[in-house]
Amino acid sequence: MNLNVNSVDSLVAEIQGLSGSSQDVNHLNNLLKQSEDIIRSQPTTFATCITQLDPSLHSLGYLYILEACTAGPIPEPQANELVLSVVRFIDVCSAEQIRLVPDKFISVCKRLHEQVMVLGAPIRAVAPLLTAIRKIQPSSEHLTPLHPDFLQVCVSSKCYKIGYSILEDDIYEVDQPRDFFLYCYYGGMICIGQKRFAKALELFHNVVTAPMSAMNAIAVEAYKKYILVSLIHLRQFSATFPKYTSAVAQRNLKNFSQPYIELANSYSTGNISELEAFVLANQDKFENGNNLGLVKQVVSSMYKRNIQRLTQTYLTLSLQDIANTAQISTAKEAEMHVLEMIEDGEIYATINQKDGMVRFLEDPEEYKTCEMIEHIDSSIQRIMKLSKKLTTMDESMAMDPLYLSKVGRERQRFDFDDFDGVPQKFNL
Amino acid sequence: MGLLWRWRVSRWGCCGGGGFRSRSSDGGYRRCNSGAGQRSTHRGVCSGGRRRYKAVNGVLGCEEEEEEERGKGGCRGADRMDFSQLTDAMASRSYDKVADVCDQLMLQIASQGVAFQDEWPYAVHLLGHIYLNDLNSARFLWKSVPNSVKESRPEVAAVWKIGQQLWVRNYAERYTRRMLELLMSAYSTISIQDTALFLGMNENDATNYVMQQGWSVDVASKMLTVKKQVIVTEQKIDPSKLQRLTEYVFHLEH
Repeated sequence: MNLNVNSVDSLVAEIQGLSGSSQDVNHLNNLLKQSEDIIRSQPTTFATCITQLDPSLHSLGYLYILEACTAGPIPEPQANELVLSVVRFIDVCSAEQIRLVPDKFISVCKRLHEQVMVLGAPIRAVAPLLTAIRKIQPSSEHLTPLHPDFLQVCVSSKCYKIGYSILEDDIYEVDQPRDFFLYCYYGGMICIGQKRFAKALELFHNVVTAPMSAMNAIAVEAYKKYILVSLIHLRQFSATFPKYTSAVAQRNLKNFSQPYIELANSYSTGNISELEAFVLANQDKFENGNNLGLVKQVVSSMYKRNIQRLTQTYLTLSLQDIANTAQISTAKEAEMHVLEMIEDGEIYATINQKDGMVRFLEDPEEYKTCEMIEHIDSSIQRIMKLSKKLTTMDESMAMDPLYLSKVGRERQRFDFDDFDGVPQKFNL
Repeated sequence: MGLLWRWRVSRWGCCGGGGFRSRSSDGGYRRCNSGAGQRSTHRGVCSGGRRRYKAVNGVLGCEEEEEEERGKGGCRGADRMDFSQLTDAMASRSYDKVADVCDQLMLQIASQGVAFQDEWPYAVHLLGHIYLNDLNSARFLWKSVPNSVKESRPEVAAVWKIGQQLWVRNYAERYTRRMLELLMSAYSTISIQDTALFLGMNENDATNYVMQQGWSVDVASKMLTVKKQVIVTEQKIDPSKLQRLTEYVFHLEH
């Protein structure tokens, strides 16, 4: 016992003494790694010592102890206190020190997420997890294992706006596929809430086409939402997968989302009453998937789809004719749909109430304003940046020994076959 | 119209904001003891103090009575809330900042484990989103309001209801202007009745308003003919654009 107390005290002293220069901190990290078993074996003793440490100065040592204290099961009465101390730690800790042991930091943050859910107050983790991501991230291009946790608490606490703020960073570096799948899935849900359908589509598309060796539930759910958002936003859905989609996904996804595929088929006929009947018949399936709200948006988008198709055929059309063709009950209702579509910039038209006519116009954009030039300019800049990025990635892959050895092996085999094949051809 | 808007903001500011004021027994200055032994002193102190000071000076005189009345209720959450940024934003009439300030503050306070819901100025927060036309955020905020608050503070529900209404016909000037632009782009002729409905005015006012914009009226059919707006913007090309073009070509060739 005495020995234990001494080792505890001496460890605390080491932490206090070795939290200055980066050299010291590295040394401390080695010491702590060696004493990890001791810390883990008696978390309560260390929990009392933690008050002697300053989380902003002795971040590394504090993190080791905090992680040990939170590793075991946490009795509910202590959950609140634990959440408070983790939040405070995330707030003040030194980013340099915690990056030495990212795994520990991440596991503490995951515990925070878990505990706020137990407390039924996900909003408590929103701001801290965002801070945590920024501290552990080497750059905004890196996906961290905390991204999914952050987005999930945003969805649970309905803080969609702040959740969306992180989706604006372009991600290029991913460690764990699962993090990426969840990031895209929750991110897509947040975009739907914010009505940013184009971005939502992009995120779900990333899940569906990501490399995968076995089927997973996240991809299935993402595919369902992908179908719905595609119908709402693009007013159509293409069931063919891009070439780079994994074979597993191409083979299986459709089987798992049959009602959704049928919904898309029914949508493409343009018949509203048929679509409504189909939705009604399959209501519980959509409800079970928590997608009924989106399905309803799909149905109401069909009026707009039908109107949009009219603009491709007619130059002028009466409101009554629009109502009839698009299966809208009154001319006034058709007018409101057209007005909404003009407002959103989906069609170009003028309504003449006097004669009850709508005149469809061409896109008035002539691509000659300064604004448009600025817009094109910034697009070109973005594409150039992307192409440079791609070149660097390509180069680094070409130099990767693992890749080279695999390609080398395959090439050898091909060469052998080639030599074998040539004379045979000549024989023919 | 603008006046009406301001009146609403300040009015709800005072009913909704039990959380605005921290009562102080020692002359408006108090240290906040924020949980878990945090060493920092909250700035909420000062805001409480300043608020009182203003009230004493009669700047917010009208609210004083209500404050006393509300003062009897518990203020546990309010003790730890620092509303100085929000009151600053309101005082400088930067209503566009209100939503962001509230968002940040709410997340920060929530992370400290404060049970803020009972004291939170939901009404102002909702109005902040509505002011920016950010109905999505307003909707999600409304969804996160606990039922007990929805029942006990009718003004919050009232703001949300008006928020929904404002979406359809907003009385604020910015909205009228926006609606007018939409009508100009979407219609060639439109009835007086509909114009009045869209602009949120009576038929006479609406007719007068659009006639000032150069529209013409056909009394017999009660129809307005829309005058399209010709937007002239100066087109100037910056010589640096040429430099950019050179760079693009260079990029393509290498």
